[in-house]
Amino acid sequence: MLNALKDPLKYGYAVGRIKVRETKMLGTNRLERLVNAGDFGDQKRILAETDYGSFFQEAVTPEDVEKSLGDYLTVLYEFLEEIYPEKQILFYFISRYDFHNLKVLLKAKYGEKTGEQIWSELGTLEPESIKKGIKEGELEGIVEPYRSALEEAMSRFEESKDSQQIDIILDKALYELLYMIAKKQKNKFFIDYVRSSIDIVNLKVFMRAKNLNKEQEFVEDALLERGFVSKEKLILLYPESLDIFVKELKETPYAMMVRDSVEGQKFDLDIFDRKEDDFLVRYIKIAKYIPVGLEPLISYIMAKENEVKTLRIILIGKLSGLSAQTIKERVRVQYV
Amino acid sequence: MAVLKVNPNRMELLNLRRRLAIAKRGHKLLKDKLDELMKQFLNKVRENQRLRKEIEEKLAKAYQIFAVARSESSAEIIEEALFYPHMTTSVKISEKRLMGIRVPEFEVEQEGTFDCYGLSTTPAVLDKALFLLNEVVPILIKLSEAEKAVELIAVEIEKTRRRVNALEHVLIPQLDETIVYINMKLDEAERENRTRLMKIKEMVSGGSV
Repeated sequence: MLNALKDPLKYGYAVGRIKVRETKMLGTNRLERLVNAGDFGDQKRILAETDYGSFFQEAVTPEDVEKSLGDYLTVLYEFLEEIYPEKQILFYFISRYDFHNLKVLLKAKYGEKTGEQIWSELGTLEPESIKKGIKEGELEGIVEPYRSALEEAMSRFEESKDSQQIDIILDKALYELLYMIAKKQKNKFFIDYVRSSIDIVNLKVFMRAKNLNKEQEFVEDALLERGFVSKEKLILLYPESLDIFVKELKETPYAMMVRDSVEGQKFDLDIFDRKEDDFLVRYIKIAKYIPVGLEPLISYIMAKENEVKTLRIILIGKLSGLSAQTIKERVRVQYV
Repeated sequence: MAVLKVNPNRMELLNLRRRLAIAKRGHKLLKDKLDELMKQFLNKVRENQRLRKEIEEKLAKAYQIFAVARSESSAEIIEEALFYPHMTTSVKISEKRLMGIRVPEFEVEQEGTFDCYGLSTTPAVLDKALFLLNEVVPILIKLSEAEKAVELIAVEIEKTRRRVNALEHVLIPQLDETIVYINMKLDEAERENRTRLMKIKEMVSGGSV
């Protein structure tokens, strides 16, 4: 069946629901008001006008804000599950919390700590069974792709005794999974999104590693596959000077992002996190003009995640006493 | 000032004179020590102030960047990132003698790197925050060393000053006065004796007449 016929049937309902919700997103103006608000109380009053209002009624401390935002995301993912029952898409969004939990469990095991306080509630894995499995080294009960990732991370840690290896292996497995999910959907927009985000992550790893004076082997290991800019190319550029790095990336969409980050012989990554998200939000903005299909659906969820992230920066930044100017520098471009 | 309770005889006088000479010499030495201690103290205080200022500036900056990193991603991610650090910092403590005072000396040894987390899923600004915080640690320990030294020197100064004061305002005047007192007593005894002798001589010569 042609996509033109298939898509409205498959995504019509879901896209209809999200189009209504899209109009309720915070938008740049409201975020600006939040940045300029005097204190957290004022911010809460502004949020009361939005669908975040009910989540923040009782919030006082940064921990409360974290909890409220977590609850908000839970409701968002439940909404996605309700309007679009294909588990794979939901899985795309929440698998990263599973990987986070796996990291926590592994580090807790090797560091002989509990780690319960930093467990994420948003994942799909059941804490008790998997905790026992990891503790005793019995991984049979754990589903793929978590199991193989865990096996690799465990053997790598036992060999090197380096906790960073756990993160590297699990991050790689996460992005491979995200790519596979997108590939299964056979949607170019989705696949390209994942590949772009892999590129950006690779650039971030590259620049951070360079700043931290990491060995070449580190980047060879930590860089992700599947990006548009090949891993091999980045590895070859690693020992080169920053000028050559910038020059080599001139033809890519990341040219500006990279060029602006160079400062002398180092990278200035103070606001790189914002640039990274801005790039991806600008990419998904195309989906606003696609009337029906997977694109507007996933873009909406991504846009909401971006909104939650921006909100976290504004609220926690304010509670931590950051100046409006510092916060403003980090407010992401919004989807709407 | 009270006069010491001693027998006013020549023996005591000699004794007291000796004590006075020692007290005066001790006083001079202690006073010199006090001056030197004050000099050291002021040096340390100046160093302290410089370190403290440096730390306050660095810490304020580090905390600000850390607050940014903290707001960039959820608390769980940041805590997970720092859950299993592989950098160790150890402090070797030895002693150094400064004007006879034993002051501690801290030597910081850091092993490994602070980046114990994955670089893909954590915010990039975290590196800078940790770099800045890591820079502060050795200075913080240096500051604690300087502050402890200042505290110990201050105690020593107080002790020395009390001694100097005791010598200057109590012992030396007491000895002085006692010496004067004994001198007067001895003179008095001398005069008394002379008078007595004169009287006896008068009586003897009068009686013979």
